[in-house]
Amino acid sequence: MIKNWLYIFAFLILISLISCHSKIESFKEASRRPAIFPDYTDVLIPPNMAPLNFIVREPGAEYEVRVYTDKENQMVVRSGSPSIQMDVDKWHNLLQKGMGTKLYIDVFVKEKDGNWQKFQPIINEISKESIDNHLAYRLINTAYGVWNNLGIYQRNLENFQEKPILENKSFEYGCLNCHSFRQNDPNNMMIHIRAIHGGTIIIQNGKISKIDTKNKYTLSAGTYPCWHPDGKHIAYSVNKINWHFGTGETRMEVSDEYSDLVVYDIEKNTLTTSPQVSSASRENLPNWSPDGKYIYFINAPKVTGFEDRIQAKYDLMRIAYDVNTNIWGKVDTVISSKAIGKSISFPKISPNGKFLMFCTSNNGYFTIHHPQTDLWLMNLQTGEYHPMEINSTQTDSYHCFSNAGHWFVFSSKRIDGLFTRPYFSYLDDNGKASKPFVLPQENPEFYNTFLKNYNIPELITGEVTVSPQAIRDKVMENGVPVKLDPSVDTVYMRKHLTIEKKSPMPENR
Amino acid sequence: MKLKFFNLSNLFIFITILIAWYVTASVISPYLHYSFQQIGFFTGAEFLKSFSSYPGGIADYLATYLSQFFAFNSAGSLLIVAVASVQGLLTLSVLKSLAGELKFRYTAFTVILLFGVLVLCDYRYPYYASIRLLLAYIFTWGFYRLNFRWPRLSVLIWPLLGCLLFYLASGSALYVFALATISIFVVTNKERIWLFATPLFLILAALIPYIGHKFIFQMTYRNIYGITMVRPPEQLTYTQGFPIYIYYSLLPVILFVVLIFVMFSKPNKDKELGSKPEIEPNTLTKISFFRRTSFLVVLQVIVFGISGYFLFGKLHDSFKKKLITIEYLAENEQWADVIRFSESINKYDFRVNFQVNRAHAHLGDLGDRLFSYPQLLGISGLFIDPTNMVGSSYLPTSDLYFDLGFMGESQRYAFEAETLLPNSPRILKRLVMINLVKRNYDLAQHFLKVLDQNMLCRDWVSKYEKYVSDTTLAANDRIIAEKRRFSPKRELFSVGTLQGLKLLLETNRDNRMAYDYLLTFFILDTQLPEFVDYLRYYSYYNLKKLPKSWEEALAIYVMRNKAFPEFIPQETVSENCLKQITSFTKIIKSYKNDLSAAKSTLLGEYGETYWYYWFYLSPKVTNVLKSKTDVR
Repeated sequence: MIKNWLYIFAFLILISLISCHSKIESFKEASRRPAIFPDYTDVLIPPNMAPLNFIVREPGAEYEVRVYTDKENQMVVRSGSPSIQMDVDKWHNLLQKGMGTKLYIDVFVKEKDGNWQKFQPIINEISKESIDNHLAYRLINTAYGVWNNLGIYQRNLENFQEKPILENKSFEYGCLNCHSFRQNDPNNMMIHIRAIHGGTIIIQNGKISKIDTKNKYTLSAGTYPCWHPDGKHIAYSVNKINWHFGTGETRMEVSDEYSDLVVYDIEKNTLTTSPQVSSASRENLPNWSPDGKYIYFINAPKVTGFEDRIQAKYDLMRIAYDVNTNIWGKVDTVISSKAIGKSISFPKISPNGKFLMFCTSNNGYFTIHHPQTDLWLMNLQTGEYHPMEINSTQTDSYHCFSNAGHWFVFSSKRIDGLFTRPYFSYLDDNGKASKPFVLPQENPEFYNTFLKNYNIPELITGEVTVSPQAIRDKVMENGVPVKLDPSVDTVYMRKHLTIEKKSPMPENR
Repeated sequence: MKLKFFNLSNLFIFITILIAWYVTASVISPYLHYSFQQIGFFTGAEFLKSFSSYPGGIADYLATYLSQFFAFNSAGSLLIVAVASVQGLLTLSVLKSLAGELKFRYTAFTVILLFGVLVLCDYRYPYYASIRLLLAYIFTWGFYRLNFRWPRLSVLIWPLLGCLLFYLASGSALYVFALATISIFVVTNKERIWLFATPLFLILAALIPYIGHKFIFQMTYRNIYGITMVRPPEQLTYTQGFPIYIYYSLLPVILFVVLIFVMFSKPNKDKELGSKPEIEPNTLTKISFFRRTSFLVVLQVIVFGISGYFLFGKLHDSFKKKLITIEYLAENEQWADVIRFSESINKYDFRVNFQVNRAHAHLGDLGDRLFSYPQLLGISGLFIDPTNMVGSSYLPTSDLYFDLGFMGESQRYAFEAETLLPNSPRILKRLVMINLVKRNYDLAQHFLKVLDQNMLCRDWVSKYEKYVSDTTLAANDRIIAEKRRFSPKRELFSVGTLQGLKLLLETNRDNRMAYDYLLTFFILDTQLPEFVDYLRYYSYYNLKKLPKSWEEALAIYVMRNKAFPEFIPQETVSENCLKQITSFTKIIKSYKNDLSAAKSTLLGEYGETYWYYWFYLSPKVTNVLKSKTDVR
C-alpha cells in the first residue's frame, strides 16, 4: 500500500519537474516593456543588493522571467502568480559575474488562450561598487501624538533578513527616537529614548552607556544628533519643539520655538556650546564635515509670532569647531534660503567631501510631512547647487551616504504619498544620481499592505552586534547626568535661556 | 427509569453548556467585545510575523483568529463556551484516568466552564489569556498520556514541552502546566522519581522564562511572567482580578485535590476490606440517600446555579456594557437607537453625551433636543476635550469630523487610532473612505488591500475596490460626493474646534451639520454675541421656527438687550418661550435671587432648558472640567 503511494508521489514530482522545465517554444512579442511593481527599470544595482523581486502587473495565467547579463550568466524564474521571487544565491552569483555590465530581464506572460507573450526587456545596470550591507531604520506608524509598537531595526541588504536593534516592547513601550552612527560604523551608535526610561544610549565597540543630556544650561535634552568622525564627540541640537496640524496637503507641521547647538564629549561626559550657536535665532540639525573641522547646520531667525514660526525658512550655515582645543570659529552662511527661495534642512556631506546633499521645502525644517520636499546637491568644489534629478512629486527627504561615498539612501513617499520608504541611488563623480529604486522585499506585494513608515534610514557597514537584550538592560537603568564644560559662559547661557528666549508663542489661534 | 450516575452527570454537563451559551450570548454579548476591542485578524505573513517574535504570540494569533468571530454573537458565544468546555473535558479525561469516575466530575467541569465565561464579563479581557490556558490544558493532557506510557521518558521530555509551551503560550501557561504535571507525576509514578522531578519542574518553570527574557526575547519580566500583558493601548488595559487568578489556578488545584484524595483514600480502602460497617442499618440508609449519585449531582447543579447567578451579578458591569452598546450603535449609525438606549442610562457619561449629541445632529433635532441630555461638560460634550483625549476617543472623534466633512481632522484622529489599534477593520474602513473623499485613490487602494486580508471585510472591500478602478462610482456616491463638497481646501495650521467649524461653513454653507454644531458650540460656551452673529444665517436653511435651544438662547439675548436682533422677526421666538423665561426669572426672584435655593423648584419644569444649563449646569458654573474625567 505504502509502495503504491510512493509511486504516485514520485510520478507527481516527475510531472511537476517536467512542467517546470517545459520551455517556451513560441511566443508573440509585445512592443512595450511590462508593467512591474516596484519600479525596477533603468536602475543601477549594487552588486551586493538582495534580489529585486517584483510583481508583473500584466494579466496572465503563468509567468516566466529570465534574468541575464549574457548567455552564460542567467537565471530563470517560473511562477504561477505574477509575484516574481528570485533565489538569493543565484541572484548574487549572477550579479557578481556581471558587475559593470547590463542586466536584462525578459518577462513572458502566458495568456488565457495558452499562448505566451514576451515583453520588451527591462534593462538595468550592475554597479562595480557595493553598497554598505546593512540599513538601520525605525519603523513607526503614521500617528502624530501617540505611539504603540516601535522599534529600530537593521536589514541585511544582501538578503531579506531583518533583525531588531531595539524594540520598545522590551522597556514598557517607551518612545524610541533618533538613532545615529559614526560614519556608517555599526559599532558606534546612539539612540534616544523618551518618556518611559528616557535618556540617550551610546554604544561604543560593545560598551553601552546611558546618559541624561538635559542640563540646566541647555534648552532641552539633546535632540538631532551627529557623531564627530573621531567617535568621541556628538553634536546635538537642543530644541523646544511643537507640532501643529494642518488642513491642507501638509498634514502636520513641526516647528521650534527656539533651538541651539551643543557638543557632547563622550570621554569627559561634558556638554559645551558657544554664544554663536546658542543665539537668539534657531540653530538646528548639526552635521560634521568629513574631516571633523566644521559643523554644518541650519538656522532660522528668532520667532516673533505664530506665522513666522511656521513659515520661516532656514539658511545653511557652518562654523569651525576644534574638538581638541574646544575653540569655536565664526559662523558662515553657506546657502541663504533667500537665494533659492526654499528652506534648507538635513545638510550632509558625502564621505569623499565632494558634495553636500540637503533637503529643501517651502518652510520649516521637518520635511517629512511636506509633499514638496526635494533633495538638492551642492558641489563643494564649485559652490554650485541644484535640485537633484531623482526627486518625485511627493516627499523626497532624509538621506544618508554609504561609507564609500557614492551610494546613498533617502526617504521617499513617491509610491502613495503617505508611507515613507527607503530608496537607493548612486551619485557619480559628476554629481549625477542614478534612477532610485526602493528597498527590495522578499514578497514584492509588501509595500502594498505595510502600514508602517521607514524612518531615518542609515546605511551601516555591518550588523550591529550588541544584542537588543543588552541594550534593553541598559535602557532600564538611570542615565548618568552630563556635566557642563567649564569653558561654557554660564552667565551668558543663563541670560540666554531666561531673557532672550522667554517668549511663549501661541500654539493655537 | 433509574439514570446511571455517569449519564446523569453528562446530561447536566450538556445542559450546563447550553445554559452557558445562552448566558454568554445574552449577558456578555461577544459582539460588544469585538466592537470595543476592534478585533481584526489578517491572513498575511506580516501579520503572523508580528505575533511570532514573543512568547505567547502564537496563542495570541490563534485567539485573534477565533475572537474575530465574536462579531457574530451566537457563534462567538459558542466559541467561548466551546473553549472553556474543552478545558473542562480535558480535565475530566485526566481525572478519570487518575482517580476513576468521580462523583464531583460535574463540579470539576462546571467550575472551569463558569470561570472561562466569567472572565469575559470585563470587556477589556484579552481573549488570548483563555487560549494560552487552553494550550496549558492540552499540554498537561498530552503529558499525562505520555507519562502513562513512558513514565521515565516523560521526565526527559518535560523540558522540551515546557520550552515549547512557553514559546506558544508564555510564562503563566508554563506554571499551570508545571503545577498540574507535578500532581500527575506524583500520582502516577510509583517510584521515587517524583522526588527528583517535582523540584526540577518547578525550577524549569521559573528558569525557562528567565532565560527567554535574558537572551532571546525583547519583553519585560512583567509580560513574560504575567497572565496578561501590559501594553498599549491604554483603553484596553486589562486589570487582573480574582476571576482570572481562579481561572488559571483551577487545573492545578483540581489535580492537587485529586492527588490528596488518591493518597489518602488508598489506606482507608485497605482498612475497610473485610471489616464490618460500624454504623446502624437505619442510619446507613439515610446516609446512602445522601451519597446517592443523583442527589449529589443535583446538589452540585443547584450550588453552581446559585453561585453562577451571584458571580455574574457581581462581575458583570451592566453600565459598561451600556456604554459600549452606545458606541456600537453609533458605529453602525443607528441614531434613533442611540437616543433610545441612552435613556436607559441613569448615570452621566461624557461619551454618551458626545454620541447623543451626534445622534441628534444626524436626526436633525440637535437644536430642539440639546438639553434632553444633561450637557455637564459644555463644549467638551460636543467635541471630546483634547485634554481628556485618550485612545478610546480617537475613533469617535474621527467619525465626527468625517460626519462634518472635515477630512484632514478625521484622518488625523484615524491615524492616531490606527496606531493604537493597528488591526482594527473599522479604522481601516474609515481611512479608505477618507482617502476616497480626498481622491487619494492609491492610498484608498492601499488600505483596501490590507482590509482584503480580513475575511469578514471582503464584501465591503469588493464594493469599494470598484470605486478605485472606476472613480465615477466614487463621485456618484452620495456620502463621498457630499464630503467632497464640504471638506475645507484652505491650508491652515493649528485650527481649533471653533475655527474648524467656521472654516467648514466658509467652505460650504450647505453643511447644515456644521452650522448646527457651530451654533450649539456658542450656546454651550455661553457666547451669546457670537451665537447671534451666526444666527443671522438661519433663514438660509429654510427654518420657519427656531429650534428650542436656539430660541431659549435668543430669549436670554433679547431679555438682556431689550430688543430682538434686527435680522430676526419677532414671531421667530414663540410667545410660549417668552412667557417661560419670564416665569423662570420670576421664580428666581421669588427666592430673592438665591440660585441654590431656587434650583430644586426650577429643575422640575426647566431642567431641560438652556436657562437651567446657563445657571446650574454649564462647566463655567460648576468648574467640572478642572478635574480630568476618567474615560474607563
